[in-house]
Order: sequence, then C-alpha cells, then structure tokens
Amino acid sequence: MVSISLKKRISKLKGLSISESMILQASLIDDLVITYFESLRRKYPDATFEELIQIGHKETYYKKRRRKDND
Amino acid sequence: MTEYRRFQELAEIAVTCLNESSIDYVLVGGATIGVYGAIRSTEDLDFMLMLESSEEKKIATFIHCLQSNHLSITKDELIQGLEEHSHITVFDLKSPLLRLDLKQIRTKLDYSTYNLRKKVDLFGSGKDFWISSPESLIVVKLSPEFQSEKDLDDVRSILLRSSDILDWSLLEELSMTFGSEKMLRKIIEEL
Repeated sequence: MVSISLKKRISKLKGLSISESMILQASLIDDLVITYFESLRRKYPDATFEELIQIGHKETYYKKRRRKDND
Repeated sequence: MTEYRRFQELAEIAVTCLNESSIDYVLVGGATIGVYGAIRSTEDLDFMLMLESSEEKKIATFIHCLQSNHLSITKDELIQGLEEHSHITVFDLKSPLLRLDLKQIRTKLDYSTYNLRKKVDLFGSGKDFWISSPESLIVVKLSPEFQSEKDLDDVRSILLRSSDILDWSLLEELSMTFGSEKMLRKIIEEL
C-alpha cells in the first residue's frame, strides 16, 4: 500500500540534486540529534557531555537491537 | 557547551579513514535512500567493506584514523567482527545517536552491490563517496533479511522518485537473480 504522504513527499523532492537531497537529509538527522540530546540533558541535568553521549548510545543502540531492525 | 558532531562530518570522516587505509567500500542503507528516494532519518551510516581480518596494515591504519576522530572501536573488535562475519558498530563519541555500522562484503548480493556502486560527491563538498546503485538498494531491501515495512517504503520511494534514472533491465535481472521479482512486480503494480 502506498501512502499519500509518501507520494506527496516524493513529488517535492523531484528536481533536487544529490547534494541538495543529502544536505536536507543531514539537516533532518542533525535536528533529531539536537532534540534527543536536549531531552537527555533535561533528564540527566548533572551529567557531563561525555556521560550524555554514552547514555544516548546505550538507550538507542539497545532499542535498535531489540527491534532487530536494519535501517 | 561542547559541540556534538554533525551527520555530514561523520560521513566524511568515515570515508577519509577508509581512503587513507586503502579499504574499498560501498555506502548502503538509510543514508543513501535520500539520494534516490524519500528523505528520512537514520542513526547509522552503513558501510560494506572489502576487507579481510588478515589485512593487518589496513586495519591498523583504519582503527588509528577512527580513534583519532573520537570514534569508538578497537582493532580486536574489528577483527572479531570480520572473522564472525557480523555487523561491527562504531560509536561516535561526539554524538548521542550517530554510529557507523560496518560489514564485510561476503555474499553474492554484497559483491553485486559493490560491483555496481557509484561514485558521487554526496554533499557537494568535493568529497567523493562510493554509494550503492538504486537498483542494488531496491534488491537488497527486498531480500529476505530485510522486507520490513520501512524497507518496503524505501523501495516505493526509490521507484517513485528515481523511475527516470533506473536501469530497468538491470533491475529486472538483479531481482530475478536474487529472487525478489514477484515482490518487486507487486510493489510496482501498487504504485
């Protein structure tokens, strides 16, 4: 089944160059990282930068392994 | 505040380290879907490597480069992963989410993906990357170990966006070789 939103998203991307697409994709991922990092900072206000990075990897990596999802 | 790493920087570091180590590779997975299909998030950069566990010099250079750039992996972890033919995770010590996922080129499908790889300046920064062809991406996503709803959506998005640039006869040949022709036909009919 093809979702309407997928078709709409694709129609907006047609005509973009490879680098334009990748820069857009990278900014989406960077925004996700920023949002996640800030949520960790609120959850663990006393943790250092290094500790937050480790907590982040533990949470997301194990979640991914549980899903057995290869993306 | 300490600055965390951006996605493009991580991708470029990984390729720099692979080039410095003379390790041939192909970038596959979610990071390349944005090139041919929909733009979506992913937490890792998936690299398939043409590398054997006995290639000590390449491994030592690669590990040194990764570690110098705050990427967490040891020589033993890489060698063990290569010997076990498993995925090798490299954690980015400057990002809470981003990782490299390394895998040895081993199966017939892996070699096919490698042989059909394309060289592109992915971010328009002057840095070339070897990435999967759209035809290979489709066939991999339709192989038995994938086929999640997200994988099928990736296939739909590539077919919708890249229909003009796809080599349809190659895609047909690959899908027949790797047994995904029925599923591919069904998805095409639904589009």
